[in-house]
Amino acid sequence: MNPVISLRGLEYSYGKPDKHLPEPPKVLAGIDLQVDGAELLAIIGATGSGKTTLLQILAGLLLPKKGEARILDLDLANPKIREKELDAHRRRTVIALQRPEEMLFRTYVGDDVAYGPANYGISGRALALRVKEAMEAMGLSYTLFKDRRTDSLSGGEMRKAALAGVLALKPEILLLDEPSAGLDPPSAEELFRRIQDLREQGVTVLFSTHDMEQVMLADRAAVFHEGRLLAVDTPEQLFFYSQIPEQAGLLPPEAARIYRQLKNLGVDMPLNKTPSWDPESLANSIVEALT
Amino acid sequence: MIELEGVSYTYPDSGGPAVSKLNLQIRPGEVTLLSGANGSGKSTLTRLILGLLEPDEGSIQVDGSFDSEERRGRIGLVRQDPRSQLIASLVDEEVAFGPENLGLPRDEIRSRVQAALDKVGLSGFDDRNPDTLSAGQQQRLAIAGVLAMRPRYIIFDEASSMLDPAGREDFYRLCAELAASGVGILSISHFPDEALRADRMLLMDRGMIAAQGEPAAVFRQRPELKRPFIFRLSEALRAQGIALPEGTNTLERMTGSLERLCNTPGRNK
Repeated sequence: MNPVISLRGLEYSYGKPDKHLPEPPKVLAGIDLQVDGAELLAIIGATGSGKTTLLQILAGLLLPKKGEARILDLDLANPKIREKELDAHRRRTVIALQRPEEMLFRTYVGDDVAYGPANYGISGRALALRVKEAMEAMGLSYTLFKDRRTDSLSGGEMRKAALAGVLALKPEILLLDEPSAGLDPPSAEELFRRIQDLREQGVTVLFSTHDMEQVMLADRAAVFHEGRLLAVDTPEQLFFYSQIPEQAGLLPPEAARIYRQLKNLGVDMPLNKTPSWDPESLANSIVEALT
Repeated sequence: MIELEGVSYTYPDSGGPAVSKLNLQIRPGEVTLLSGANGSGKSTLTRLILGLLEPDEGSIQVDGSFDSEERRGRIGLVRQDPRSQLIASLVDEEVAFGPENLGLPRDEIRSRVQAALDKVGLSGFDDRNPDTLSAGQQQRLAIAGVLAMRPRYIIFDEASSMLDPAGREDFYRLCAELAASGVGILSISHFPDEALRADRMLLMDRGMIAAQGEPAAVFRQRPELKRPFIFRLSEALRAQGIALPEGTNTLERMTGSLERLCNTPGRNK
């Protein structure tokens, strides 16, 4: 089976070359990345490293300047790509931009979630069913919330309603740009449980985040630094056994920092177990090393 | 000192009070962390302190003054999205905007602008267009604009939420420096680790203060809160019979304590 996403030598720069700036600075350069199937992939890097640009390219909102960007067998970098193909692509690969709740514009939650699929010609029972499924996948009860005014929701509920609107489009690939920024910890944790469920159901989910504990929930993480992709690997491998995140200006989760510092200090941390980011399992490793 | 006594506020046409009977103090020279779920009343509290809303009940005073106009002059606000408060097309003009509105002499404005840019690590950026700065730099620019007004208090409304981890570390350091120079800081944040850098913590729940005090004490009082990792690790270790000394509240102290344990005679490793 062909990979879901295959990027080769992908390049992007904002603005067109002109006599003042014959070569606009590259926001992304030489990106090679392959995603084979349902996967939860974290996109990480300091602010300005190219995360948002990458997600917008995958969504078909920006067109690559160079290289190859095959997504669900459509090469978005093909200069002859037609608007019709891009439209079809944008139905299968859907992005939720940062702070998606700012895009809520219907008075009632149910109508807002229904807006996208209704635009694609879905109506009647099929539409109601999609809205219900999408809302419940985000943890919003259909009966309790469909007739609530969007402006009466809390920040966390607004975020979930906005993401339900994206899910109602039934994307094969879901792109989330900082989905939990600004949410309180319980709301963020719940959101990530929902995102993990989607992955279990076969959706490929790419998300950007600054929260390194969330990265530990992903299958793999892609580390960006100044427009280049430094590495794609499991979060454990990146944080516990490499210094790549630091090279990209990121601070690993505390568990990884403590684990590595103890190793550097000569403490014989057990290698037989995969280290984990939660405090209980790190405490177990420390106790084992001490006794 | 900013002091609220019995402050309540209900938005028109809403079901119940957004904040109710608040009693709290924000002291100069301290970093106070304000935490609480989305919708717990944090933003309403900020608007009341700034005088953007008038309380239905209770009183708010800042350094002895009850006048909301005067209050506003003493308190600076830095928002979550710096772009919402940047207006000028050059960095130095941006920082000079506030002091110019105060009608200060040119030399005074220039020295305030330079001092503020210096403080946030943006000296040399004077001629840049704020649009060309990274999000972290824009946030620091917004802070410089507030610093140039020399406020006695600064409210950071989730100002660190859009920063990357390294940017957040710089932000914490800046808060500590400002507090050390006598500024009173109220920082609204969801990051549990920010509590480790705060002198005091206020926890809001459904419009009320659910707990306040030293962060460690607040976490002890409210076991349902997501606590900083260091606290959770200390507890997990204690449960296994390893007690770390009091005050093990930074990563460096944690690894230091653990290293000493490893090198204690009688241990093999």
